[in-house]
Amino acid sequence: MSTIFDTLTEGIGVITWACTLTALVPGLALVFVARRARLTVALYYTAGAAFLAWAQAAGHWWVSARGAAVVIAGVVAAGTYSAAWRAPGHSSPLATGAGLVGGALAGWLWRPCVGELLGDILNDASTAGPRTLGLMFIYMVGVLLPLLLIATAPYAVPAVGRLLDRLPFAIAGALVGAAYAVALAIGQYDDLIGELYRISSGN
Amino acid sequence: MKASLGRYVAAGVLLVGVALIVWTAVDAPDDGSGVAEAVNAQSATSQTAPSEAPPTTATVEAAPPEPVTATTAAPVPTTTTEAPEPIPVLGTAFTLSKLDGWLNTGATSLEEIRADNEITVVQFWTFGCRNCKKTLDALAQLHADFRDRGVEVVGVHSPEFGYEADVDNIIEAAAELGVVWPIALDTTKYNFHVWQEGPTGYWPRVYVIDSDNQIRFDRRGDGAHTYRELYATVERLLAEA
Repeated sequence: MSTIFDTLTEGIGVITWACTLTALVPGLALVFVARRARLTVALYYTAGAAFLAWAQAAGHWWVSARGAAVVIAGVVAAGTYSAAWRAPGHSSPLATGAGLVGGALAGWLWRPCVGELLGDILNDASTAGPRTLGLMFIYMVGVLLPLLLIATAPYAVPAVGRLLDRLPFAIAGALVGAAYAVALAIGQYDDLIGELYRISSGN
Repeated sequence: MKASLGRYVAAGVLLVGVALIVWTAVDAPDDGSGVAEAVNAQSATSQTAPSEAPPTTATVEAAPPEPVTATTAAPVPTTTTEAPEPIPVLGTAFTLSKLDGWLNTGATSLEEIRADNEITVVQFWTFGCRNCKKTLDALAQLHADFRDRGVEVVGVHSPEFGYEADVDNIIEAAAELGVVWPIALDTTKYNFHVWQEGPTGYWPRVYVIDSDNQIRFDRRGDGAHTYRELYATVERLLAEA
């Protein structure tokens, strides 16, 4: 129990770190775009990111994010935002697909700075599959907690839902999503995030 | 009724989530003291007398590492009478190639450094990575304790972001962080990807290479237990050499 809680809080503790923003920012944008299916998208995004991050560490995924693969990733990323925009509701395959594929992309592109418990998960991923996959999901819930909370907020406070339903939020999400897809396709995504982080932190 | 129950559940999730974020932000230590303390405890139990390290041909004028006091050391695990497991061989180490240069050393290759030492500790790091920074005091302790017993630390600086690739920024950060051991400039991350086989790489990741160029230790992350194990592995390999 302590391991689960500590893993969750280690994930939460790195939310604002630059290496985390590469997974968090595209997810937030996707949740804003998916006006009628935010929670589905957020949950599947978290699951997709956790699975791909774990699969890479466990040696089950061998495609590197280099060369033509990132160009394809940019196109796929654009597709996830389009699907999320058009998803009519929570049970829509578009919502599930957008969340899962968007999350998988994020997990694939994520270059984590590795703390103590994430280090244990990654070090043991190839030998203790189910346990480390579960812990990776817990860690990712911590890392992506802001988007999960934004997706949950409308159910607790309907006024927040009405606010998020407004078109400017979806358009802002779509613009971030478009920038993400383009930056990915031209291989500049990491540098863009790094520069934003450097400016915001005054480094 | 059903709708209001869902609303309460959502409100609960929201409150717990926000509380966790706030609590983590307030509570989380971020200085790496736990890692340094663990290694210091390991150091204190070893028979090794800390040595005066001779000066390197440093291009970085480094601040001395923060002293770690033994009184704050973490509890030392009790020793057992059972013979320890042999340290496994994890594969043959790669070389370092396509580098942009070296800092803190006159050597121009990993082979040169290996030739002068029994054991080489290779850490992939970048100065902007907070988890990497947490490990530096532990590496400084290891460097100070073992340097004149034939152990060298090599920091392979593989930048994650553009501003970490600027060599002036690296020199400035190395001085601030007290990194006095050789730094290999892996600006293109060529070695980062070659050494870390698979589709991705991690910061920090640390390897121990023995005199036969075999990898004897390979761990990701900044865990205190990881760096305690690193220290113990180096010590055991030295004893076996």
